[in-house]
Amino acid sequence: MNLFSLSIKNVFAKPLSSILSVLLFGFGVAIIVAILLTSTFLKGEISKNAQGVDLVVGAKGSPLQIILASIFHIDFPTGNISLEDANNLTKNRLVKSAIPLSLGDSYQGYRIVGTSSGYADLYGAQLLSGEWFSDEMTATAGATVAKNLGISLGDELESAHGLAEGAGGHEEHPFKVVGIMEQTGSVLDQLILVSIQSVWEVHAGHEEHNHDENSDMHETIALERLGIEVTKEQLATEDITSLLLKYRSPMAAVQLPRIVNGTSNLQAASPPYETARLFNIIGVGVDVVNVLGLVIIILSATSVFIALINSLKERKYELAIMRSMGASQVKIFLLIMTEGIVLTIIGSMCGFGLAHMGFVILVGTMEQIQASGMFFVPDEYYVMLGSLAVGIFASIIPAFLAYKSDISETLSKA
Amino acid sequence: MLNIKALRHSYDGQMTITYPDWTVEKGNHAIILGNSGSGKTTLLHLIGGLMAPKEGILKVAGEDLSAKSNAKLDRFRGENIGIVFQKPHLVRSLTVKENLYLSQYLSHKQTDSKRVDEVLSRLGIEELANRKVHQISQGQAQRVSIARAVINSPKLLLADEPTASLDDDNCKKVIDLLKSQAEETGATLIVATHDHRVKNEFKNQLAL
Repeated sequence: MNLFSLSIKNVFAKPLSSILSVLLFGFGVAIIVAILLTSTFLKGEISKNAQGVDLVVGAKGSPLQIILASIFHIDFPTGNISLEDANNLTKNRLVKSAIPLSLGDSYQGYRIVGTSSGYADLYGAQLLSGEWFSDEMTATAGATVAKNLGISLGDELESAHGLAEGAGGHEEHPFKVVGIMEQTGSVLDQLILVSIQSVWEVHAGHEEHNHDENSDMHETIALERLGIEVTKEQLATEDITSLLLKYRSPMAAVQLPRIVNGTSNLQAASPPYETARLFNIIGVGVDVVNVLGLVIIILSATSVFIALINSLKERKYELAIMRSMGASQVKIFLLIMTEGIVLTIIGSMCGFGLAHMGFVILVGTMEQIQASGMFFVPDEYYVMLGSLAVGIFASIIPAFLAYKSDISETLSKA
Repeated sequence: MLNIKALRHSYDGQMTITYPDWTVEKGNHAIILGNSGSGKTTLLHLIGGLMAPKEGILKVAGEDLSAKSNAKLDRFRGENIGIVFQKPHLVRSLTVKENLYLSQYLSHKQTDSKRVDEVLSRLGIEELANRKVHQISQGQAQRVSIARAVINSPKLLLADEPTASLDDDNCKKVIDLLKSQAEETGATLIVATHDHRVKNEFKNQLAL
């Protein structure tokens, strides 16, 4: 028998009021921890997908939309930019490297991305089997796509125009799967990569090219910065959706967006800036839910406070008799404090358990994300300390009342 | 064991009670008789160290209680005094046995389950050891409260109106029980009561 086991027994002796306090505290903590986990997780996902991309260039429109479409592949592109404009931009000495993207087609809901080999390198993707896509209508599928659609090497994919399932098709130009990538944990797992040339070929339709025999339009030139080879005709007529740029020097961060936006059809979008803006927009909602969590915690602190005060009334003789048996004032104070703190600690543990379990389930339902829900955010320590402080705060007044009570007076009224 | 000289006590703003000088030798069980409001409970609380005397000399078990700080009084009570109150007021969240362990813990003693078993069987309530407090009768609870008071072998066993709500038979039994328990643990018993049925049981009497 000691102070701690006595306070545990006192807490369990009143199951209903203890459960109420624990539930309230648990839910408050769970809400705050869940938000903490989700926002940390989202920020991690975003920075993982935006790594190595300093600037995205697309057609004029919302910069946030450009980022969402070209980096996270969740929104529709703003439109196309001409290959020539894009190529001219990459010649700027502030640009270290550029990856072209051609979006707009999909296969059973998964996006087909026309790009260069640099795109896969950006996420450090490795081949699980087969080889990388080439210009001859071949495709390399991301790990999740391959797994979920049961794609294997040699399969033919008939792409659909548009990004939604069941959109009109390009039946005449199927892609042949020649490779499957290993899991990267990035957005790449959700994509089917093909070459820019293949995308153009799919969209060329039936119109015949003018075969001017003596034209030098079919001469191939290499666009080195973009990592693709095109004919002069293609350079003059074809479009791409966007460019992912990497700066050569920090100076570029200041100058390049201005140059891009000065070009009539181009729009620059900075991933860090736009995601920060996105978080600001979401942040209001996050704040509201956080306040809700805090309000519940305050309610629960009140419930702990009331439970303790009530139990003091019921137990004043018990406590006085404990004093008569030799318990010091400090011991009684600590007993009541411990009871309050035990309640809040149990509540807070339930809250942490609930939040992490909920998060595991949430992550499990999101196929595009491969993460364990058991990861721990350092900020959770602050939540732990905070809930301890709330427990101390809720019990200190009842404990002090118990400390002050006069044993002789209490007992002579018994 | 107990020595009172010119002891006075007053509650804030109320009349002062002056207690007659009184001595209780070791083993010489005694009784404090008086009607309600005569100050006998107050005297018992003073002797038990539940409050500090304001004037006069109060020596219990050879120690001057008026000279003790609160913390020292707490310790003194735990080591030297066992009190049986009118109502048992056992700790409800604990079993009978745990109530006795608690008493040992609060008086800074090691948990001694052998001693607990011994005291319970001496009081004839060993079969209640693992019952919760709300599962036993009022009479049984009083026995537990006696067990709780003697478990630490106090030098002084105090009882406040132990027979107030009992019939004649049980009144005699409880007094005998208190006496026998006091003797077996080597404690001196002092009973405070207005119950005249108890009067003849004790030679050393203090009337207030």
